[in-house]
Amino acid sequence: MKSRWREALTTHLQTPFVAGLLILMAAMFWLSRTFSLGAKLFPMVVAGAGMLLALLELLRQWRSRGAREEQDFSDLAGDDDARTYPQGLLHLGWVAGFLVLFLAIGALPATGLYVVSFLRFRHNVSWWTCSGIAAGLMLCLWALGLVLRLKWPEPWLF
Amino acid sequence: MTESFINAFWILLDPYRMGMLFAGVAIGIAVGILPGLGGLMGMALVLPFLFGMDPYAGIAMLIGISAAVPSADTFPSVLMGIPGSSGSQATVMDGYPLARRGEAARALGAAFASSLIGGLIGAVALTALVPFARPLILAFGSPELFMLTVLGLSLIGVLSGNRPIKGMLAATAGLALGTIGGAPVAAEYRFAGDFVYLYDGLSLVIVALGLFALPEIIDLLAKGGAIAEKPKQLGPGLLQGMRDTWRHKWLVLRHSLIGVGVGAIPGLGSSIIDWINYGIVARFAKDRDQFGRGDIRGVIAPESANNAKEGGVLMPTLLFGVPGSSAMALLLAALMIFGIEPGPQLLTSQLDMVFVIIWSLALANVGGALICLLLTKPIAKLTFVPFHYLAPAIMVVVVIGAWQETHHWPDLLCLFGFGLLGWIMKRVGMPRPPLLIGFILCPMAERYLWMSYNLYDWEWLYRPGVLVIAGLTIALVAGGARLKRSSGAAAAAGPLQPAREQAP
Repeated sequence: MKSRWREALTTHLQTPFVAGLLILMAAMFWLSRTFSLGAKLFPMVVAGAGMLLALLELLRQWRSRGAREEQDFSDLAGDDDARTYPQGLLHLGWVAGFLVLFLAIGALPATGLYVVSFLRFRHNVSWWTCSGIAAGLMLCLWALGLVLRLKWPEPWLF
Repeated sequence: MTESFINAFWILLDPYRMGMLFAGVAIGIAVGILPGLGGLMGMALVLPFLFGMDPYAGIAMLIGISAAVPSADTFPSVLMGIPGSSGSQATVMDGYPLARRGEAARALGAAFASSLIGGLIGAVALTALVPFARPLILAFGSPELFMLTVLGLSLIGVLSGNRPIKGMLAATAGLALGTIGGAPVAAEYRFAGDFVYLYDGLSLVIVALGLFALPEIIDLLAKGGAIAEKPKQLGPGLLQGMRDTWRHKWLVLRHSLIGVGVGAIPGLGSSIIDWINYGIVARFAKDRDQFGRGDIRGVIAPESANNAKEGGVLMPTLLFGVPGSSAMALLLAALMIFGIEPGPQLLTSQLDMVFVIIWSLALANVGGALICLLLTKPIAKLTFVPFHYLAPAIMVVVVIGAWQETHHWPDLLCLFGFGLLGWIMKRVGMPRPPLLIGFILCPMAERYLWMSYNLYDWEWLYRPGVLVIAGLTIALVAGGARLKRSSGAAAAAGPLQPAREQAP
């Protein structure tokens, strides 16, 4: 059941994606009407071309329905296997978690916490190794901040 | 012109600028040896830190990255049978079988020597073109420049992926994203609603980092230990490889020139240049039986072309402001960050910068290839570091880079949004480079269209220059798509199969 879902997502996700683009282009065309000529000329040309291309792509997909879509070889993506979706979503979750931490407790503490928890709980790296990597990275960031005069976020929690 | 050429060399010799150039080379080598990353991600990573930097130093750094990647990406191709980037796929064909025979050092020596010579030929070709191109592009008006932008976008859209319509749709989506914020030719905000954050438009740095850095990191982590494999022994023969390159010097020259020529067509870029050159050398060689089994010519031809193409992709980028590849789109973005308008103006008012770019390309090619040659053993070891040790560090740099844009939380929200978009685009087979290039070219395209309309109404469509460029667009798109299809078929069904089968 799970693998069928994944297969369906890999094969058919492109159609809702292109349909979504078509809707966005139509909305852009509609909203542009109210602008002055200077502001609306380019968006309307782009939205018109976008709608035409989205329709052509949907037509192409409908004509080749059922056939397996070629992977874009310039991306070096390779074929998605059964792990790609759940693992990818899981790692996107880790990214989201880090972004929230970054804003909530500040850049340097978030970096330390993220590196330790990611390496320890996700990849089972020893406490010593992940603490060492986290400390080294925090030190590098602190030095980089001084040299480049980087601005860090004001933590929401403190 | 000669004065600018010499002056640019002295500008670049400044220790700080040279330091930045070689920092770029070091970053290029680091991202080149990690399969799945590449020049585009390396350039996207440093883009946020360019603000406030000396323009010559910043541009030299970016050129350092883009020139070093095609040399360094040979390591994983030869040692692991995994292409270091899309430009070194064909090197796997004979490089990996050579490594399996214990001749990895020979393959690497030949690859770096031919990369060095190819890179220099690319820089010389670019220098030779500038005096001829200058009067030509100065004759162009805004309608012709708009059509050139359309030509570049069409070529990139059609040629950067396997599906032309998808590519062009992605480029159009990029143009649409570029219209968010203040209109350049009217006092109005478009599609920004009440979000003050959007009044200045979306940040290029965040769009680039989100589209190209996050999806790569996530995919490499999701696929797990694919990178870390048992290392192959380097073996002796580094000098033998260099001697092989000298023995095949005419091959190096021929494929470097092909690399420059193909690289100059926007969109064709690295993903197929190596296959075209591999196909040519394998087809026209007298004795062909060793190709795919460890023929050194199968390493020399794609590697010399791969580095020479950097000179080629810079031609449309510098002369017309149309990026020759997605990495060059980031170079244009960097020029904008420094307040330098890309396009024909560059050749009139910023000739020093053009020659600094060319000198940087030549020096970075020499530096990158020499570093790879001299430090082959330690760099080869780095190739086998498991990616999950590196991923958190790269992730932190990405997030901090995005935060430096406006120092507000929507920066991070946009980063995540574009990361998700890039990841989904990879899944649905929608090429991402056209979207980024459309986004970058949007202000320029809009300005040229408005100027053309304002000056000539729709009559500009009938100007001879416009009609010639339109015809050229159709011819190049059709010819390029055909070339791409044949090289794509070679990549899918060609002699890659034996190499993959041989992999343990």
